[in-house]
Amino acid sequence: MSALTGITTGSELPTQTFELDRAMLSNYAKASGDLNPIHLDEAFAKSVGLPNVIAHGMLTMALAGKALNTWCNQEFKVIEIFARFTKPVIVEADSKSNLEVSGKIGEIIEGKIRVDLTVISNEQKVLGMTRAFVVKA
Amino acid sequence: MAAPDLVGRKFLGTQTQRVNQLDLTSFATSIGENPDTQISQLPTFPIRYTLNEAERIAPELGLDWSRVVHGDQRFIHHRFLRIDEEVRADSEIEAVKSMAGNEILTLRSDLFVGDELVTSTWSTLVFRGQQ
Repeated sequence: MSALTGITTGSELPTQTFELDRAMLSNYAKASGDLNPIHLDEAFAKSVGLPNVIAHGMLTMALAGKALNTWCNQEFKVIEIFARFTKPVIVEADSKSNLEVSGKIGEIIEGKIRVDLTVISNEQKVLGMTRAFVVKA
Repeated sequence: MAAPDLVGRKFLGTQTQRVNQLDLTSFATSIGENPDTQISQLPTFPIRYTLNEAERIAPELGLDWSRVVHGDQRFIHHRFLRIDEEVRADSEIEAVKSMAGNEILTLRSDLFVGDELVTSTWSTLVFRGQQ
């Protein structure tokens, strides 16, 4: 059953945790066509003043989309999604960075459900104003 | 330096891209989804067809793509793309701002299949100034 069945405004959706590593960044880079070296090459990332390789903002957003997909469970579909990229997710070599995605129902208008998402990595919000509109599939 | 009079400038997609199963499967599996995930379950998948348009447009505006940082992103799906459709991105600059030496561009890209608008996207792109 979908986590969205029977929800009302203010309902909270179960938090989902994802792990990002360098292999995921490399696979996402190829899949999306975004081959910017700040996501792939530690020496390059550091040369432009970053602490280390950072995940694509769009990868973080795609994982927020994955959380929505799980909540929807094919009974609902995402017709709109927005995110602001506020802080980078730093991904060190040979380790995994966690991403926690939680959701709350913002409002429901004529069957259109607004889900407000909170996306956290390393105790910091990495996406801002993240919201999606979801309807029955 | 991008000028404010760029607002309203349109860039019609010059070629179509075919939505194919391999691209879909690569995208799904890269984020740990099942290989049989549908496009309707991947709300950000169309970035595959808009980001390369933005990359093509940037130099025409005198902007250096290697200095871009993604500010925000929106997708509105009027319906979902389907495998084997030929998709075209028509883009328009909706806003330009200069802030602290950075050029901030809001680019709308509409994905069309033939005459049908399928997905509308908005990207705010920050082009970092030379320090």
